[in-house]
Amino acid sequence: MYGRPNMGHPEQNLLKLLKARVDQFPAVEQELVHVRNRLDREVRRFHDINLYMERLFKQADPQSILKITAEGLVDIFDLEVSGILKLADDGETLLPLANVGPDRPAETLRLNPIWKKLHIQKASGQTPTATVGPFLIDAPGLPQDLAGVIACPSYRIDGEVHMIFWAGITQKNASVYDRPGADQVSSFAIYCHQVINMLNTIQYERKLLRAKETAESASHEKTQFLARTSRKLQTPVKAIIKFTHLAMGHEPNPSVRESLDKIDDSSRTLLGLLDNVLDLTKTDEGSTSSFTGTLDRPNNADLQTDNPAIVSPSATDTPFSLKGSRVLVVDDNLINQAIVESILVRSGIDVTLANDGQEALDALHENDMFHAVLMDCQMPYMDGYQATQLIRNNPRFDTLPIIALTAHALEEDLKKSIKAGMDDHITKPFDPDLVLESLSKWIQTGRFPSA
Amino acid sequence: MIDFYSASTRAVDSGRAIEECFAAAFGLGQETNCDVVILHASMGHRFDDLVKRTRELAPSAHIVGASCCGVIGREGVGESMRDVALMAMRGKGELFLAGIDEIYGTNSYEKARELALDLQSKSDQINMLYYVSSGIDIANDRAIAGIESVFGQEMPIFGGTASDDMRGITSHQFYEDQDMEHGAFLIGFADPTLRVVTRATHGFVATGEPFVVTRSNGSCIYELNGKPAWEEYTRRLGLSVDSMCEDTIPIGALAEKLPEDLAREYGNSHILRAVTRRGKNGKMHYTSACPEGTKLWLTKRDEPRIFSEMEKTMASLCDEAQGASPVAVFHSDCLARGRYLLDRIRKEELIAMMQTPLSTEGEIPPWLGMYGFGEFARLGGRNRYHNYSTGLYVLFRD
Repeated sequence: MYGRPNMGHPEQNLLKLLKARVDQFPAVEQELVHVRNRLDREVRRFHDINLYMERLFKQADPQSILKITAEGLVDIFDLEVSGILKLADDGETLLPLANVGPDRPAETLRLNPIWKKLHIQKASGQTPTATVGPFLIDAPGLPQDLAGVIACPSYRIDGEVHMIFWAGITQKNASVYDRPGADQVSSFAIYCHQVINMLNTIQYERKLLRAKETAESASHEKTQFLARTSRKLQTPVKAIIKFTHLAMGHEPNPSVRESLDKIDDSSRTLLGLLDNVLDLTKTDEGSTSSFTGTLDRPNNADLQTDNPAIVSPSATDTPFSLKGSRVLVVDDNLINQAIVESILVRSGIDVTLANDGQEALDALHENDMFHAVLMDCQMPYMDGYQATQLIRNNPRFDTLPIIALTAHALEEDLKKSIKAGMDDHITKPFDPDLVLESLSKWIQTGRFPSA
Repeated sequence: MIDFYSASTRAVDSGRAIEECFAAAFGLGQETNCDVVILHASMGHRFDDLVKRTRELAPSAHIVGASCCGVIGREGVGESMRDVALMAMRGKGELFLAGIDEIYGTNSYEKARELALDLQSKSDQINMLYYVSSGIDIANDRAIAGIESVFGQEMPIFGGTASDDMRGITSHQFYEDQDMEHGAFLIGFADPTLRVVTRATHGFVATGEPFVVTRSNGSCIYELNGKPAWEEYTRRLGLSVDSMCEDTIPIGALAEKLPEDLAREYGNSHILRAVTRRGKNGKMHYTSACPEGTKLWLTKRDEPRIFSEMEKTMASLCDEAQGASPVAVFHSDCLARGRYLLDRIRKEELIAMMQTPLSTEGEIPPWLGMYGFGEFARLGGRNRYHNYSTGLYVLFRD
């Protein structure tokens, strides 16, 4: 291998040969060092890819992402210039999205058809593959001065090329840089692949965000409609109450008086419900951070004007400790159910609904873990008074607090509730804080606090 | 009293790299103006952008620098194509600079003397010199002699030579707004509270029969053993005659035998030299004058010895501290040995061996290092040029 020694004694020749081998040993050793350095560089590239991805994940706008990605293409792979190109719909024109390097032109470029034929095929779902070789762009100004390039296309879902990531060195500085080599191909493709995935994820997230905004907009419209309708209904209902009072002033006979009382009571209940709906729409609109509407029974001052209801303290701001309690709400009116449920759930209460007295009894028999019952009094099939008596007949429910929730506000009504076995009495429309306060009191202290 | 601030970073955008360095060196939002900035930058940077941004951030500063094959700072080793490191200094009336262009192997003495005279005319209080020159086609021993002819042999000269990415094609030196390929600059320190201790170490061993230089001129060698120098050199290395310097530099360290007394001080019987450029007709550029008759040995690197000699060097430097803490460290390291020979783990281990003993309560002092073609450090009471070594220059304040 090193030539046959042809002079002197064999020992001397052997010595010369050995010395030559000693001299050449560093060259062999250096080859090993080169291999190790190449491995070292590859490891460093993956480390750098991670660093760049961490940096990219912190970016909010796509333009920053593209710019930093292009920087990564030269930095990670120790190259001079780089770019990201987007293929236009005509399949030929390349639009520069970002680039790094001196004097990069910004004009539109065209895809080299030969390169396209060689390297870019229809490849639905294909993982990007980088290639090293003749440059891919047939355009004046940019490619001619490149001495080496590595490129990686990304594909759309239909298999067409979407973007091309490239990096390289110019003829001018070819002596300063290593040419892009085959050992960079896999890590180059991995970097591009990660960036493409990230860009796709961002695009997907934006679609989701748009869908959410559309849904929120529809919900807002619905809420607005409810609010408008409720406000419009308030005026005639107030008029009904007003005229009912006027009619009462004419000393009607007992039968008419009873009818007027019912009209008055129902109208006030209806007005209360409208107020509640308006409060809920305010909450939905995000105008307040919590449930803030008053559920007070409308007073005469309210009846004289269209002023919005007075705002009371927030239910969720109350200091009551009700989280984890379980309450049975009994009411035949679905809107009332919804309102009460909304108030209780916001305070962390687990709510079970029943439509009448019988359903309430069934619910209690099925599950005796309730901490309290909110009981409407007037219900079809079995009213609240009867249901309460039946509950109290069962010793299991001796200590179960039952709170009347009723439109009946007279002293007799209160006595009737207590007589039936109820512990408290709240009139509709109600203040949410009063409901919570009462629940808190009864749940925490129990039915027989003095005992 | 001169104050020192250093930082290094890696960034693609040259202007941003400088901003990051200044922020790290002085602290974010702090005043960045200063009197002198020394830059070391890998070849991937746009040097004009580096200087421009430095000028904006330190309008009063003199700006000098060199291209290199990687940097070493307090932050560790940076060996990408886009690393940059700087040392900024504040010291009104205590820092003086001079620069010169067109310094080659054939005129190194004269040009270096001219450079030194220019600097001397600016202050007679200078007590140490930081020197950086081109790493290609220069006779560094003659350049040292030229500087010593003005300042005397006792004046400590420390620094290194610029490089590219070990290709041996070009190297850049910046002096103010000039970007030179065959330039040199000197920084004169005139702070009486400062002293510098310099050391160089390599850890290689000479092997085989030596070449004999049979025809040369200055730092250019034309023939070895009566044959065209490059042919003979590459043949002995087991490389093709078409090989380039980037192939020969890692394995082609040439050794000159040191006299006994210097060998004892150095801890090695040989001082090393590099071939930095392949010329025409078998000519090769050596890094110092190489008279005919000089014997040059090929060498073999000895990794355990690299570490053991480094250990001795650091012990010696710490002895020289005499209780003082370093205020700044300049560092020139051979690209072939320091950067390319050692794997990353060993390299970081070696750098830690240098920085740990010089740290104060765990804090590394301002540190500016580069991987270049050559190193300047004193040996035997004189300034000398070294190759394939680590040159450490520790500034102590007494």
